[in-house]
Amino acid sequence: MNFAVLSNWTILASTVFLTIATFTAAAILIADGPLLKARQISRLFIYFATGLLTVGLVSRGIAAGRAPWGNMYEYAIAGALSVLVVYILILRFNDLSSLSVFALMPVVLALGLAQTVLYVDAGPLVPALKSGWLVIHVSAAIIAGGGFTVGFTLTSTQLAVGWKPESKFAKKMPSVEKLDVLAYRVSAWAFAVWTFAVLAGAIWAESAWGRFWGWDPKETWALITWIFYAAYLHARVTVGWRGGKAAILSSIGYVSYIFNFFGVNIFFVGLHSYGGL
Amino acid sequence: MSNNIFELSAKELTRWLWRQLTSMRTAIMLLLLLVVVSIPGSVLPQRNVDPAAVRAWIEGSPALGEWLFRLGFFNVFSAPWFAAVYILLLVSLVGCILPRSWMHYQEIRSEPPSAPTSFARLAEHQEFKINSDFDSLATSIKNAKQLKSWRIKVDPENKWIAAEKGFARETGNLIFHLALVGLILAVGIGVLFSYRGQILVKEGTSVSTVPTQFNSLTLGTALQVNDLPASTVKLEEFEAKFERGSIQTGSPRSFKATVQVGSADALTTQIIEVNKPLKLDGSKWYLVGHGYAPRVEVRDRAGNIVFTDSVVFLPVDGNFTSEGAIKIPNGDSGLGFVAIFLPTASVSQMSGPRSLFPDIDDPRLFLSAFSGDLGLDDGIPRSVFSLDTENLKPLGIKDLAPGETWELPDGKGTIKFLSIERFVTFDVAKSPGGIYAMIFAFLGLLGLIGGLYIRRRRVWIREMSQGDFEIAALSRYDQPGLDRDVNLFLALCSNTEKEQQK
Ligand code: HEM
Repeated sequence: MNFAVLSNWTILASTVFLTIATFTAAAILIADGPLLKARQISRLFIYFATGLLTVGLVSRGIAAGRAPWGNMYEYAIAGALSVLVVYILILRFNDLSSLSVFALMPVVLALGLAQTVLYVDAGPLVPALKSGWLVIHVSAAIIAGGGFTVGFTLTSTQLAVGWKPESKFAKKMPSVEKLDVLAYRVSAWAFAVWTFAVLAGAIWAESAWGRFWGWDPKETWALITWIFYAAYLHARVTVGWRGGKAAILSSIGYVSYIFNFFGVNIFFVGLHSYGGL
Repeated sequence: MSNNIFELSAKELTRWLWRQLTSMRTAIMLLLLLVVVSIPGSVLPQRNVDPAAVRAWIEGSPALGEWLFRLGFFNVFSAPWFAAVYILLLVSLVGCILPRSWMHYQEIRSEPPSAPTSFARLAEHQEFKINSDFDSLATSIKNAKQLKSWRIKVDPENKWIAAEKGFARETGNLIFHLALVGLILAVGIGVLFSYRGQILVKEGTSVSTVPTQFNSLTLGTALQVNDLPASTVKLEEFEAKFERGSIQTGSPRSFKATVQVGSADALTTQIIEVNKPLKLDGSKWYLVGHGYAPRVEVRDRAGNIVFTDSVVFLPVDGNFTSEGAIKIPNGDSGLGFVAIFLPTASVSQMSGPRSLFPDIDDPRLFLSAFSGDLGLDDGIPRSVFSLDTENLKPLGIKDLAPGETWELPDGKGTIKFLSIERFVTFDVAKSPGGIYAMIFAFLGLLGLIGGLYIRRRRVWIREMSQGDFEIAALSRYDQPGLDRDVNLFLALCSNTEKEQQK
């Protein structure tokens, strides 16, 4: 079987199903009734698309003969999968169908970008990336990214609801308090995973370049992201900062995470510029 | 204390400042400030990462560059203002964490707090009836196996039971913060004792870790040049493989340096690869770069050999278009060549000579010859990769394949392109604090997980009147799962009732 082709087709199919799920979710948000059937359908589409995307990523790995996260195309695909998995796990315990559209949009965007702009054929890695730590460090970073992204969706909804609590939109969303707690839980979890990712990266850097930490742009921005989320966690327990202000801190943290992914690969020269663009 | 800080005594002022510094609000501000001061370090080129880029930046805008240089913007992470922020953060952290650790220690040793007067105000509250008196309920709760990890206090007079669990949360949080201090100290002290240098070796030759052989060398403040271990490494062979398929053509696929180390009577052969450094005399040798060193032979007009050596060329792109200079001061009145080496040659009108592939498929050496005083004796340091041609007389240009000879114009002799050798650059480094830093880091991670996921909660049960009880629970930080705790206690209560009825 040609796994490279299988991978491309399943990822495309997954994108199509997710796009449908996104429109369904948007319809749920705009329509007036509870639309229980539509919610169920939208959810089924999400599960199905997640399954397809998993197949796509695994077959990409088989085609390339290595862990399928070695260039920006693969990071985007794996990142999208990570967001979906985190979101599905949260959906199991909380009814968030009304904000599914916001959780799905970044995923569709990432998949779309991946397949158009970032695409490269499956191939082996450059020597610098051949290390067991690649699997550990990058997968931790991607898993954390899934958490950060879902956290950011919840946080921005929280900010929107808090901004105009009387609006029609706000009434359809979970309460600010509930969004705040959920966003905190998923972001704090992602923060712990991110901490691990940064540490694993430091160990890898030691074995590849002879130093744990060298203030390479990628490293610096990883630390900046970490600091913003640490500030967020502190703000949540500080009078005068909890609520909106803390939410803004975690949002900026998210922006710096994304910047590290796209901006640093594209704008800066450093040891980490393996984007494959 | 007065409200106006201008009316405080020195002692009060100190205390006020200390309290401000160790407040959570200040910690947040300092964390954000740390971000602000880090950003220039990732946006501007840094001297320790890429000194050439710093030079280029300053040449590009000298007025601004000069100032930024003086203010330390090209060496942000060693700048005093950067240190000021993280030292303040460290002080704030210690000042916050030590008192908390002491409080936490006392809290662990003290008993669970008394029941609040009103249970109804607490998050989880229920009333229930059971057929049991208070004392036997208290005894069975105290002895319950399921409650082993709970701390329990009974007040027989006021008829309440208090139970508490989850101290490890705060313990974890404190371990996290203390480990952070340990991490920063380990890194800071490690830097004093670490060194890092770059060294270049051509195939078939040896290098030793003496200062003159390093291209660059950074020593920790606590080290001297002769603290470096004396090692000698001979590069036997360097092998590079590049992608030849149609996807990502020319991408590196594997690099392998075969070296010999040790003294003459006990030589061992070792392999160094990317991600697989060589450990030697307490340092590690990392394979960080490679390139080509064309070997040439230059003869004067009489046919005597005046120069024969391989010359290191600097790769300037991913396909190893390489630039170099060949300098023969003792040739006929001084002879110099500005040269470009292409492992796989192509020449286009647009971009001049460019290599198409990083490996040696169709090698060419492009030479521009100059004669005159090369100025090598005037004491001004000059790059070995370039030749200042301003005061030299151009002789002509020529490209050579290996084995070819160029008869220089004006009877200046000949140059022959003999062969191509490879060179490798190694980073030789030791960072002794690293392992301690990592231990602290992982300790901190464990602490963080404990601090985030262990639930700290209290449960109280009170007898309101004979057979009528109420239960309430409270969790710090409003964590979920309190209902499970309440249900656990309710189940135990009804067990007690059943036991008694037997
Ligand atoms: C280098 C600076 C610091 C970093 C990176 C840092 C990091 C963290 C992190 C990640 C948490 C999350 C734990 C949680 O959410 O429960 C936390 C909690 C906490 N930090 Fe820090 N911290 C720093 C400095 C400080 C300082 C200076 C203080 C004292 C003012 C402080 C006091 C606390 C407290 C009290 C908590 C517990 C929050 C809670 O009650 O849940 N931290 N810190």
